[in-house]
Amino acid sequence: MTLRLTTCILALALLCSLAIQPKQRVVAQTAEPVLVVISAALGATDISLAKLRQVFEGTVTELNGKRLIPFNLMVGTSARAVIDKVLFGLTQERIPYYWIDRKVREGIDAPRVLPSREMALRVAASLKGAIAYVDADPSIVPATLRVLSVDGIRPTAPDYPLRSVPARE
Amino acid sequence: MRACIYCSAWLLMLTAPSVEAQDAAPDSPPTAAEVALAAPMGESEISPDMSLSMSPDELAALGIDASAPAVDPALRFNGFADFGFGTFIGPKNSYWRASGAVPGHSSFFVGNLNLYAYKQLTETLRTMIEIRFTYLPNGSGAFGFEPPQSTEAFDYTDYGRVTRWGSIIMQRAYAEWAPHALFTIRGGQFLTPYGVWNVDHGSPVFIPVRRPWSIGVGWIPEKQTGLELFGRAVLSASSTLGYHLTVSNGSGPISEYSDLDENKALGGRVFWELRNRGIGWARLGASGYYGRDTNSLYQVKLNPNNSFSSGETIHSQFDSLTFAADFTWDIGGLHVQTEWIVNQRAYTEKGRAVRQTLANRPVIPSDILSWGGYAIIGYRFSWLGIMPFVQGERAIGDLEYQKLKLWEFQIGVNIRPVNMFVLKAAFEHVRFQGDTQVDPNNSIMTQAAWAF
Repeated sequence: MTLRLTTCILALALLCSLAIQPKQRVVAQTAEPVLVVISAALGATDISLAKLRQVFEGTVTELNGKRLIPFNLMVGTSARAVIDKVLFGLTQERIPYYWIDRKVREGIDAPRVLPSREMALRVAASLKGAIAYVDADPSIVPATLRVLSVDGIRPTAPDYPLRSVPARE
Repeated sequence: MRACIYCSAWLLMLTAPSVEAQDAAPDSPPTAAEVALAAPMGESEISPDMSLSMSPDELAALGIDASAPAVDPALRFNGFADFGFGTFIGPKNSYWRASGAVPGHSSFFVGNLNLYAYKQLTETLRTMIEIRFTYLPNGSGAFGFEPPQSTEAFDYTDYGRVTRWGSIIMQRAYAEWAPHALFTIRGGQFLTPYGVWNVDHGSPVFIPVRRPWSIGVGWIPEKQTGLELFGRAVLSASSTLGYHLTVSNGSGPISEYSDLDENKALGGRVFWELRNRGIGWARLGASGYYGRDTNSLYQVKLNPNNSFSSGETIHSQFDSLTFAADFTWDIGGLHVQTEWIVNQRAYTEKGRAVRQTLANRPVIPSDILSWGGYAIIGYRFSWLGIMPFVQGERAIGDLEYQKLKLWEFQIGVNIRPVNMFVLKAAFEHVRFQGDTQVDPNNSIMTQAAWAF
């Protein structure tokens, strides 16, 4: 009787597992480089990849003596996938775990999330010290914003480090 | 068999509702106002001459105050909790049923309920406290050799009916000043920065249900009260070097607020982190700790000339020297984690007093070298965040003045269907050899842990 009940429960568990199919997280591909943008008034033109990582992981909050406030795009967007992969080596599936783990270990929150590229540009232009990123052609970024080079490499260069990653890993 | 059924049903019940939440944004999701603000425009509308300026009201709709300092000065709360079910598999008269290490009967239990509060006081000054709420000391006893405590009280708001009070444990309370990434100084009570497990700290972050024996035994104190200096230097885009230095009261019966000797404990840690697309993320660390643990009492003496003085009685005193090494590696879904610790305990002449073992035998404690370590290997699948894992541990050391050798093996699964919620189930086999013979400890532990 016990064996039969156990078998039933395990079979039920298996059926439920099969029924619960995870929704595929689609990471859109982009040919555009991911541009790191800040207000032109801050005067910076370049940021190292290491410093960019520190800013977005919350361990450093300044660039050339100016305070920085990082803003993320939503998980699942192509630009966010590039940033998380290049800066943290993590896929879109794993990055939420990373931030929860840091919250539990250190009480450190992830940067705020903005819902769109357009909003990222507007906040970067309007909030002193805001640093954000967008995937766009550098030529369409308004002049009130400055697109930073990364490790001295302009976004138009072929070896610019913030470029697209495979859609699913 | 009954335990297996309970575990399966319980895991099934907790797993089922998880998928709907999978799409929840993992970090500070945009509010409805944010989405509304963002909705009308797409990439095609980004142009060099577009108007970017946002009014203070628009920024406020995003929860951003343009006039506020660069840091968020709000008092923030979060924390974690866990709930589990455990059962011991063994003879009805097994030592373990009375030990308190595993439940004597199959039991559901609320494990941790920890609340964090933190606040950025200025751009470089931050404070954090962590409180654990617990049902203890109700029901606790020393390895089953002493009767459990009762905290029954009579509730004056309810006709004096019986209620049982619990208590709180202060886990962390500190302020820190961080003028530079290379230099942060922290003062108060903090978690000792060593290894992997002690830093992970919270049940949603641990992979198995329980701490390895060699970590839980406290060869390096879990937390200390004193000062911690730490920082990190970025060596290259993929490599970071970090350090921690601590000076504290060390360990002792009241080390949270009083050092019972003049010997301050010193500790340190260095680590090297490597992160790139080829090797994933890896961290190699080494830690050390040296301190004196004293249990003593000052008592007032009345001298023959009617003056008062005091004298100190030392009940126990030993020097503890510990070195530890750890390695963590994540690549794709693979997770490898190991840490090893060696501890030397040397009693002072006055501190080598007669003590009682667990079996109530009087012993004179001897100096002892203990060591231990564990390794965990797991693989996290994308589907439901399922991670099967195995853990092995070997430890040889002192347990309540008896030398003990331990082998531990654990096999289990850690499921993270959403980022803030974890389900765990594991079978654990622990085999002991020592002066006192105890039977193997076989148990099934399950846990649901969540961050909030």
